[in-house]
Amino acid sequence: MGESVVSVRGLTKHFGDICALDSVNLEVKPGIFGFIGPNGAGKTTLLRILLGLIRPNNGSAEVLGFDTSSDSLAIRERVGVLHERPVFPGPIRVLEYVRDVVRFYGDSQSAEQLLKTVGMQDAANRRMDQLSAGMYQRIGIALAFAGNPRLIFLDEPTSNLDIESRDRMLDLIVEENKESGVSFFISSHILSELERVCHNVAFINQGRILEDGPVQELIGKYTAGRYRVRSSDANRLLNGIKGISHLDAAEIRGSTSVIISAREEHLEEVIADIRRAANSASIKVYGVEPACTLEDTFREVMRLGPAEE
Amino acid sequence: MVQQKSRTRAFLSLEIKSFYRFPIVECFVGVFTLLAFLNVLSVGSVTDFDVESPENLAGFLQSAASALLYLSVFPFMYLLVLLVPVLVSLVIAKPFEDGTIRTILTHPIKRSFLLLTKILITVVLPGTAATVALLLAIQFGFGIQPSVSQVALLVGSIWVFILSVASVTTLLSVISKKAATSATGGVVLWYSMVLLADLYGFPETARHVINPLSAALAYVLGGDGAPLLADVLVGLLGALSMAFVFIVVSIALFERSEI
Repeated sequence: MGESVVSVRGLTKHFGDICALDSVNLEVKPGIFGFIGPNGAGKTTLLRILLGLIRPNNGSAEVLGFDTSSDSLAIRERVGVLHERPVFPGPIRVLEYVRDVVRFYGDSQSAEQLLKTVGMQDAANRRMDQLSAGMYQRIGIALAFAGNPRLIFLDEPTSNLDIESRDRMLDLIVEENKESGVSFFISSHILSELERVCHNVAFINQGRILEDGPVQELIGKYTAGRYRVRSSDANRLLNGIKGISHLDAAEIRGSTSVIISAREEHLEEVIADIRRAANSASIKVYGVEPACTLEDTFREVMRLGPAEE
Repeated sequence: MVQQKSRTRAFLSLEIKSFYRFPIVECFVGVFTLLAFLNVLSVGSVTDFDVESPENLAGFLQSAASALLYLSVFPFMYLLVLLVPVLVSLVIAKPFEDGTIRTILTHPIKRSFLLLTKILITVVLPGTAATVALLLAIQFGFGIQPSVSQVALLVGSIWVFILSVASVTTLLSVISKKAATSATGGVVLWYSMVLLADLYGFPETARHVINPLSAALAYVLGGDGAPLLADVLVGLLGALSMAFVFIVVSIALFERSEI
């Protein structure tokens, strides 16, 4: 408990009849943590509770050892936040706004340094309401680093960013964690990015934590025996391989991929049968590879749903 | 303490840059100043005076001075009842709608501090503009020169009246979290209350509480039916208490608000 940067116990939150969080328990260790779930799963609700912006109906939560209900000011002094779709006052100039925000914190990098970190130094004199969506997002990221926080919450940090800015952002996260020991709590739908930077992840759906743990451990657990068959026509291939012996399951993934499940001892036999079936139906098979990404893991966890209690 | 001062300065700076940009402050000052001078000019239309009856000049000056003061202050009340709810809604309710309140509350700022500061600025801006305009009207008027204590009473009543109107609209803003709802609600509510208070038979004390500005003005002008100083002070105290209660309730609700 003492080591966790976020500790959540039995957290429940209702909005009218809607149960946004249902007895959530979660321990987040220092490092880079990914919080994953479909839209409306409860990610932003949990973030709002952790910042003391809303109160839970039941349960409790601590951030850096401070209770979210009674010590939210102490938490906000020590964390940085990037909200999903951040909103800043429109008529203020970027540098003026960042300078004022920096003054809220006792110890912080300068406004100029923060803007430089996200490559926004050239936009310092532009008005907030004249920025593009990507620039706006980068200002939000810069502000999350104000006050030299020990923990930074990032809600969809790379939405609106181009590929180059995304790479820069992800590198910044890894670097800050490695060099300054800053922990990150990242909520995102771009799982390839989370897989790239996160040490641990948790999956949430319908207000319940389905699974959590080290990224590679979860990938190994949920994607063992699953392979991606890349072909010229996934629909026809799926129809053609039905009934192949030792093929435990097959599901279509987009227009060209089919995910199959087979035991390792039968794998070669299954692949050979798939290639034969594809040939007879004039479908090209470009390759078969382990389906072991975080995205594959997420789909499998969502498919299995919550564990029976 | 140093940190708190720095936060206060930073928040004030953000508030002023966000909400009090051109032409809001300029309009407030302009409209009140214009009102004061228009009222100075309008004195010429007082009917008692006739060039063929110069003996009425003294009476004219006296009545004109009273009219001037009355006209200078009385429209302030209706202007304030219109402007203050709009300003409070813009500053307190609108950030709920556009999401900037969530942004600001992720920084280390106490909610009570945030709300009190916003209320303070919304009182200081129209209060200063109205005070300056009132002093100008008195200065440039002729005949009557209220005593310092009378001017202080008028100025105090303006500020208390503004605080009352602001406190009610603050509560509406915190409850509704919608700028249009709280602005409309604040204007309609205060217009209704002020008009209701003017009805014959309305309890005097309640009238002074709802509209301490009118009571202070009637006291300064004197004449039949003018309230006693004690009645005016009770009205001011009552209005202050009412504002205090509304602000405390607003803070309590804001502390529990879901952002």
